[in-house]
Amino acid sequence: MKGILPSVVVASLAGLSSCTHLQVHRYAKASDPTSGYAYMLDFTQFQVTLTRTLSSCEAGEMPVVTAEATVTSSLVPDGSQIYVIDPASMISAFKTSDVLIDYKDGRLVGFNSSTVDKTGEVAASVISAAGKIAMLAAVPIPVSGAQQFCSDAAVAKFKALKENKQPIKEATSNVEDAEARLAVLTSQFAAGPTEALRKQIKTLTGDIKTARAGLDKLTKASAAAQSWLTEKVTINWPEQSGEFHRGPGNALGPATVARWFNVTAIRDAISSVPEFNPALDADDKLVVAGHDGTAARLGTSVDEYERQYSKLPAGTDVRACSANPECKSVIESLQKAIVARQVNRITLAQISFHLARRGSYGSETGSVGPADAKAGLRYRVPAAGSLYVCTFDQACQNGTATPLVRTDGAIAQLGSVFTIPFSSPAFASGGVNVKFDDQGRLLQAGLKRETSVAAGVANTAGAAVDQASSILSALEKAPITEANNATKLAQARKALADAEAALVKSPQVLATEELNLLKTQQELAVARAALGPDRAKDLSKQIEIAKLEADLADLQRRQSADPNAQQELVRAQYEAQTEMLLALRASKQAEIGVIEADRALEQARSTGK
Amino acid sequence: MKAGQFFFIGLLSVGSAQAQLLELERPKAPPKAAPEVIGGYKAAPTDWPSTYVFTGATGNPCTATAVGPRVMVTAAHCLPAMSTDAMSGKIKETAIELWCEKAPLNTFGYDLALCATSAPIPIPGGRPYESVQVDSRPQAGTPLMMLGYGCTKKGGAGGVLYQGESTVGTWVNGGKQFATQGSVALCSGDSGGGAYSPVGKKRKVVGVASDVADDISRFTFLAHPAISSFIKDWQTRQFDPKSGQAVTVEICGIDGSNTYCRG
Repeated sequence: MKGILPSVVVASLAGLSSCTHLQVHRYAKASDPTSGYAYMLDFTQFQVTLTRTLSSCEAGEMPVVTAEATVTSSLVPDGSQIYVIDPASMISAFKTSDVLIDYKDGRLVGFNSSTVDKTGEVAASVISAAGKIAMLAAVPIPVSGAQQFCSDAAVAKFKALKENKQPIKEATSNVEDAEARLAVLTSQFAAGPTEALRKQIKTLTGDIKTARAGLDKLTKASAAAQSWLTEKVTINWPEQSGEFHRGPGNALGPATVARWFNVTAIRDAISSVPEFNPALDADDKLVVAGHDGTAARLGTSVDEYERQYSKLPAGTDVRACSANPECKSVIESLQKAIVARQVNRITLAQISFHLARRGSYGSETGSVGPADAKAGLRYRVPAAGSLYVCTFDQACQNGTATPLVRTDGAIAQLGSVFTIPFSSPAFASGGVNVKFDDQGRLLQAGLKRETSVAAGVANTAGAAVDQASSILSALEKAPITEANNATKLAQARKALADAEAALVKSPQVLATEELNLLKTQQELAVARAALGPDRAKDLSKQIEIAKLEADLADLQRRQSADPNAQQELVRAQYEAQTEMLLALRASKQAEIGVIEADRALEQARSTGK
Repeated sequence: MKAGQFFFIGLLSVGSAQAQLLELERPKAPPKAAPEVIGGYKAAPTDWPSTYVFTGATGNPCTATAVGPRVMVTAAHCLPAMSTDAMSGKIKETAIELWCEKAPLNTFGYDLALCATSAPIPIPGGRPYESVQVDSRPQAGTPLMMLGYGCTKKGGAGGVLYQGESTVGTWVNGGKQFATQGSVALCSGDSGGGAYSPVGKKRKVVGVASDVADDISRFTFLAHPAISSFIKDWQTRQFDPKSGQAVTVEICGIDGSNTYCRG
């Protein structure tokens, strides 16, 4: 291969003067060419559903917010990477050219390709990650009394949840026991109806209805309190392909902050703690730089600090400064800014996003590709990378903190913009064809010649081989393998999830189908007569139970996959959610028991037993 | 002129009505059913006759210690936050008034306030006032007795005087404070309480409780040059706000008499 390469290069060079090139212009500004076949590259955008819950309001301790994020990904058009294929250049290059361009959502998926591959669609949007973490800010607390830093309303909600916990547990247990006893009585009655059994069933069903009503009231109150303590938002990030980091941002809404926290108490408490004041050395001189310097406490760079606080340079004698009203005013302003940052850290529960490549291929600054129109068709080869969702302003992709969630996969904008050039000598005819999958990855590249002009073939082939080599090289590299593995893993995960869902949801499906059948055949009245008056209601309850079962399975799956599940607060949240679902399920099951008992009694009455 | 005088008096009245009033009192004896403090144990108030409790700026308990016939020491953050206003008050069930001042740069780790009283602070049984140590710093590892009108459990309000033993750990905040770490930790209500060394009857107050994070408790160190010079300077400029007369505020361990000072 090494031996023939120079001759190919020479041939290519020799042919350049008589070549016509396929021209693809980049459209970057209004004056750029707009005549031709336009297409956009894609970039990967993540849909992050962020659920933040106020998890702890202990007196004398700062409030704790637990954050949970689920991430899905999809490809969206990249408005900063628009290209226009110049048809005129192609007409001159191909004497007998058929031009066919396949688009999907404004994206080029095939060029002179007979079929458009669909295999990538499965992986286009998958649930790729979920995680939950307690957003703890290590804050020294002045030990002046058991100050409450949550709002009175939030404390009341926690009190309601705590007070309801044991009654819900007991009521759930009682309802389950009664439902089991009712099932026994009902089957006994079906086998041999007696007046004594009938009375027992009537009494027990009445008791269950009352108990269920009480349980429903408790669970609704707890669910309402839990909902009050939760805020859920969906964020699409990044909005631009050139954005690789964002944050801190996506703060809790102002109404939520006002609802949950006693911001004044938090501000007062932390303002007396040395760490949330400008940093001083042992001689009370201002320290600006360093990991615990004033600039770091302010969350800015040293340069930014020096621009903003030019009157308080490093080494300022703070004791002397405090005696000067003007200087003191600047210090107080600086103190307030540092305190405000910490208050925000506690009350806004912000997050940050980071994209990072894995492996050696890819760039975290973005790739634009060549500007020359003769470079040909542009496409991206995605890089194996990860999305990190970090709490606060942490750069957790560097391993400095635990991410809220990390999701791995092929990320388009981390990859490079590659090109498929095509040049043809005069009088040659032929074509280049390419296919891309729905992840924007090249599936197939081909070159066809219908000429005996050897120089032309050599020239074109040389260029194509050269380009194809780099494409293949890129495809064969580890990151692509990892990307493929990630896709395979995602597909396997999806298949597993589907199987689990099918397993869990099968009663739901069966019940739904049965109910739908009854409805569609307009035989509901007949069915009621045949099955009893509450069979349809019974089926509806079974569907609800099946849904609860699915929710429980999903919760258990998330908990088992969550690396932070052993955190005390996180575990407590999972347990609370589980208990609530179990209580709801018990309530629904008891209702079915009552329906069955009523039906048995009704049938006995109608048959005169 | 009369209208002007009336306006001035009116302003004074408004100012007086808005002023926060401290009210110090002696800790109550521990009830039998009181739970134990984590890592510490209930203290008999009679063993700590100079310890007082008051409601701090947050509306919750703080601890103060009488370190001279007319001097109380406590934490600056127990007074209104981010304020340079002097705070006044009285000792409960007495006619004794007091006025307090926070140490300069108190939010930077000099978390200390001194209060002077209009008359000698009553100590049950005529027991001695506590003494302060401002001339030398305790070495790391020195045993300490921590005292506070603190909580009975983490995060809970107490109402009972507790004590617990620990040791001087690392020096923090440029040597203004020392930290302790171990089984005994400060908790809500301990602010302003004393850290005593050595442990025993010849004890001296070496620090004042400030804050806690992850069971690391921090005390403002009284022998820090800036703190000790504040204390000595404060002594020279005390005047009774009502009479305008200079008040002598002797501090045990600095210039107090052996007849009424511990040790």
